[in-house]
Amino acid sequence: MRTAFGLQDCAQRLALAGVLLFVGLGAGEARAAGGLATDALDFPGEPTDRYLTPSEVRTVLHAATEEFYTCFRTKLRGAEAPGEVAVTFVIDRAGKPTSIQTEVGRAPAELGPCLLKVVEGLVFDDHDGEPMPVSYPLVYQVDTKGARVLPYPIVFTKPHAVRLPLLELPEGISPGATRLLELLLTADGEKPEVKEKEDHE
Amino acid sequence: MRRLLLRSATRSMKTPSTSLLLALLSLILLTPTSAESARRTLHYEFDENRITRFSFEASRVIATELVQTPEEGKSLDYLPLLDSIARVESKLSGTLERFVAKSYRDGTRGVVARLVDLSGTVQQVAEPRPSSFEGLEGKSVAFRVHESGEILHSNGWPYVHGAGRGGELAEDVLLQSVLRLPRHLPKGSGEGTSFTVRVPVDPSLERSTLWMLRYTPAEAPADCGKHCYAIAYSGELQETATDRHPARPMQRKATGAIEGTMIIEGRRRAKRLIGHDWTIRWTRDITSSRADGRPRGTIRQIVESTGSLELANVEEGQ
Repeated sequence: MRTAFGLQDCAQRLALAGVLLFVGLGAGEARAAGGLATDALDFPGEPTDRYLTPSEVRTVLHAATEEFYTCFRTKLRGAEAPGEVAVTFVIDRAGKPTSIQTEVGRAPAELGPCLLKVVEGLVFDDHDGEPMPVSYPLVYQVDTKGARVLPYPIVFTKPHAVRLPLLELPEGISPGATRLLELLLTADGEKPEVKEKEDHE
Repeated sequence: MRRLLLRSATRSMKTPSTSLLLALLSLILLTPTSAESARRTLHYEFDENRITRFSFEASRVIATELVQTPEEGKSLDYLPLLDSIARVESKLSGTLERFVAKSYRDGTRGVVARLVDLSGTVQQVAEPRPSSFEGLEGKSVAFRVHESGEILHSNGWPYVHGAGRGGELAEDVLLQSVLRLPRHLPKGSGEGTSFTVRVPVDPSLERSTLWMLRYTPAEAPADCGKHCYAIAYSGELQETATDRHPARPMQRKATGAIEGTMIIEGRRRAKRLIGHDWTIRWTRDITSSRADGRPRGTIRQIVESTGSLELANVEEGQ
């Protein structure tokens, strides 16, 4: 019986070690593969890379929701529903908003300068990309619970286009030449309105 | 029987030697390691809290030929354009600034490499025209890199690549600044290794290159110092790339040959890169596809690339 117990003990230990080995390998691989989500090079709020993403811009805009609401509360008194309100601006490389424009819909004109001042006070991270155009709608809602500005889930930015990345072309090649190569090689060329824009450049 | 098994399991957990064994096993297995860290005596030293500057020069000669003309080409006047890019020689020089932005728990580093003070020339049909490479000026790529030079991930390539930027010159400089080191300083006939490098330009483009290198000892420059070592390498490159973007369905297959010499310096296992020069010759076939998958056209590009990096200075702060 003693011998039988000893063998069972050994078998139990080996089985447990085997389970630990299996679990440990899985955990080790998970760690080596990338670790936590915050370890990503462009994780919002803790990026390693030096480019702004729409989610990082959205975080800054959402943090200013109360200030946007203060503008509506003070400038919209007694006025009808404002309709479509939005702010449009460009984030320069230093992280400063420039070329700020406001659309106030049906709201009183005084709302515009107030929103402009809020955007001027926003601070974004400095970045190595091109100046980033941004458009952000401001949704003002009034219901039985009161009035508020809702943080809009989408920030509209111009997508960064990479044209023909597998074909090595000389630096400074004209947009027209690039378009000709795209028409020659790819299934569909760019839309006519884009072609008109390139012709004007 | 069940009680006996339960008693035996409980007993085995309670003995000190078994508990210690399990604890040690868990510690060893759960410690994250890179594939290359085992038995490595050579790795990079990355200056933390400092900006490291390398001066660089890179040049490329690209010969482009339309191998298979698409049927759609009949209605397009493309021949003058192809003549203008049949042979292009580009040169780029500038400074590569590098700093450690993050240190990860597994020992890897988040390194940002940035291109500044760029100037160069581009020669097509006529005389070389000077260019400031303004599309690349100030652009950076972030790497998550192991001390061996293994690149776990990188970000920022969309701002370097694309028609008209000249990013291919920059790509060589950026990747060669963290070329994979051999596990040990090579001796005799040296050691071989192979690894894959991925360049994530955008989510729809899969591009990976298999590097097969052999490292051999070389002679360090006389003025380099006592703890200076030169590592020569040569090998083959094989690249496959598939672009699934609906506006640019293309594939690229390429083979290349590379050779170069790295100069590293340091007393301990951690060595600082102080110089690197390289030559790469590529033969690339780029095929575009139709919506139904049939090939549309094929372009062949022969690329001869040379470059050099030299440590300029290390400055405090970021």
